[in-house]
Amino acid sequence: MTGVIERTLQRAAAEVGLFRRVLFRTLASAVRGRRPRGETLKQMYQIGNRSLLFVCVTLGFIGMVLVFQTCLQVNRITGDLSQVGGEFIKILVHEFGPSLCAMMLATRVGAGIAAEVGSMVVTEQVDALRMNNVDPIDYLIVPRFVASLAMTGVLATIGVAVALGMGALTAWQSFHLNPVVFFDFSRVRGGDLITGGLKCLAYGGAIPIVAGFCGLSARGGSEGVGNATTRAVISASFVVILLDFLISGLALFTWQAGT
Amino acid sequence: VPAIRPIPSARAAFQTRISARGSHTRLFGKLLLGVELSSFLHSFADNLKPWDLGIGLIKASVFGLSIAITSCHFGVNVKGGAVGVGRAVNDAVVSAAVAIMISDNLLTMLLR
Repeated sequence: MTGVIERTLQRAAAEVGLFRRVLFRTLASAVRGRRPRGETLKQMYQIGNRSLLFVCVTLGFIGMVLVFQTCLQVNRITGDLSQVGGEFIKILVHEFGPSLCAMMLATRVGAGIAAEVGSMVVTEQVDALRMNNVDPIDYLIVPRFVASLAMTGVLATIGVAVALGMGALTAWQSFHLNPVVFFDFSRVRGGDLITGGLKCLAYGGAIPIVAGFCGLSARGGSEGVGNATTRAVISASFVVILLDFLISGLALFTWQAGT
Repeated sequence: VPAIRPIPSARAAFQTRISARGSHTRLFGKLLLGVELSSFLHSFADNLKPWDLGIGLIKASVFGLSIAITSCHFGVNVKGGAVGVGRAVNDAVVSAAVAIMISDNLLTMLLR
């Protein structure tokens, strides 16, 4: 019994140690620019361009559903749909756009990073890197970190635009709301834009670190890779939700974004 | 200290603005925005109809079906060892998410 507890605690301590190492080594190496040449651009293509269609499709449908449901509710209460557009744009910029885009990226990019790194771990390619005195975190995680940091904001911006367009189309087709009335940007303030940008940066940094940690802690054969990928998706989504809550609270109490 | 000081004033400003304009983020409830818990719970009872529960259950079973079908498709057709498993998991996650979004949209339009 005590042996089981001891082994569990040891494993937990090793996991915490690995996570701390991944986190600090990634941040330090990203600042110092220790990463393989050309790899960041390749990862930006993998994370950004390859996710573009996925983000556009999902955020487009989310925008349609959100506007449809909001119009249904408003119709039931007041029947005045002229405010829907302005409020939808505001909440999309400071809350739904970055967060839903990051949730989608946490599934796609997080699963991709964990699968790639995890399969390199179980096929002993990471050990080969260590043999050649190359830190696997510098070589594998840092380019993905920098690329994700840059591309999350771009993808969130495009996603917000797509969700807005699809939402306006839904309101126009289903509820005969004029798009001129729908596109009311007057309620978006600087604080909302700052909150959205901050969230993009936080998510973009968190997803590759969490997914890379899950990939590096993969054990066993192909089953271990599958487990690591599942863990990466769950942890990355959870971290996105947690950061969303923290940054929203911070923004609410400091520059009153969202009011 | 300077970072903490804006908090009470911000909270006061937020509370007055919200109570004047109606609830915006309801789940903060009494704690933050001054909405009574009882009126919050009563609004559930007033606005929920049995059909809402039906919609939720239908959507949940359709999503469960689509997750199972897409994931099994990619799992059965996996090739090439650990790398292939990783790629299959990635594809399964992506297609399940897209399937959920599309079916959610269709069901929302169909069922209201």
